[in-house]
Amino acid sequence: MAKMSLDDLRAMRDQKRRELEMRDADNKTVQIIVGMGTSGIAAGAKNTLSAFLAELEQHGLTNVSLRQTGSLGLDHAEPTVEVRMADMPTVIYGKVTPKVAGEIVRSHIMNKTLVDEHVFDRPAADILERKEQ
Amino acid sequence: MHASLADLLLDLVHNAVNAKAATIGVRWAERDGVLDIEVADDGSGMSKETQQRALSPFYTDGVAHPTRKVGLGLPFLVQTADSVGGEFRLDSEPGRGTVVGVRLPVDHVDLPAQGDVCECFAYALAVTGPREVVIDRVGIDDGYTLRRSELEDALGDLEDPESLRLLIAYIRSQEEAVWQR
Repeated sequence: MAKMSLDDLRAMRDQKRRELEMRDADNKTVQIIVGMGTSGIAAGAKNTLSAFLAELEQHGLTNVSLRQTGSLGLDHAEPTVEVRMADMPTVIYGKVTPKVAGEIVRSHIMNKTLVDEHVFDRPAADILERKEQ
Repeated sequence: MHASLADLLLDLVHNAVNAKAATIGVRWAERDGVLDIEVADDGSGMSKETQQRALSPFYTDGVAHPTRKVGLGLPFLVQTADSVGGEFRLDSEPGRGTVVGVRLPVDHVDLPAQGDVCECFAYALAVTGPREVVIDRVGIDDGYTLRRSELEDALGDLEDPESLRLLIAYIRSQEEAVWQR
């Protein structure tokens, strides 16, 4: 690969934007937040982040923001990932290996179905709120 | 324990984020058989007493998670340096920031793998929040500098997966140029 300049990078970005008709950051409707504290990184959170990157590309999903945060406080369940999107409860998934990251993209984000066996926090409150309404 | 030196670096960068740094400087230099990794930030900094306690695995400031009883980031770094006869350094002052680094012999049999440095640099540049991140990569004869502000200007939002993929490709091209000389 030839060494790229910042202008090359800008041109590639513009081309990709045109190809994908990408929306800007304000229009992102899904947030994937990967816990990158010490315990998360030690458990493989960097590989999880890379797996999300590859899976989103594979499915051509452009409305997703891929964010990093510190520890989510569930050290026993690292790597942990929070997913926020419309029409779904905000969920913290645990033990998110690269394989599970793929399941989250396909099941939670694309089919709006929880990946039950990896849910570690949050959905109960949201579901209760919905039932009470 | 972290699987690679790249993981250790990413951990240090997130420590700087937690310290509310506005600017984070990273240096990854490999010369004369020594790998020098350093992260400098202008965050909250630590007193001398806190610096000593931060090297214990059974200390954490408890700010983010009050019930947590361990803090392993810096102890992992110290352990890595100790295991290969390297050097660990820590310089910090409240209100001024922190500089933490290690010098490691690259040919030591027990040195962890460097890991995917390009990916690690990209993730360090894309940490959430408005702050400048500057990464200086120094090779044997050449090197390159990555500035988040310049890259955001070229790519836009670095939390966009497409931007992040392009950023990784860009860093790989810089890295290959360093090693082709």
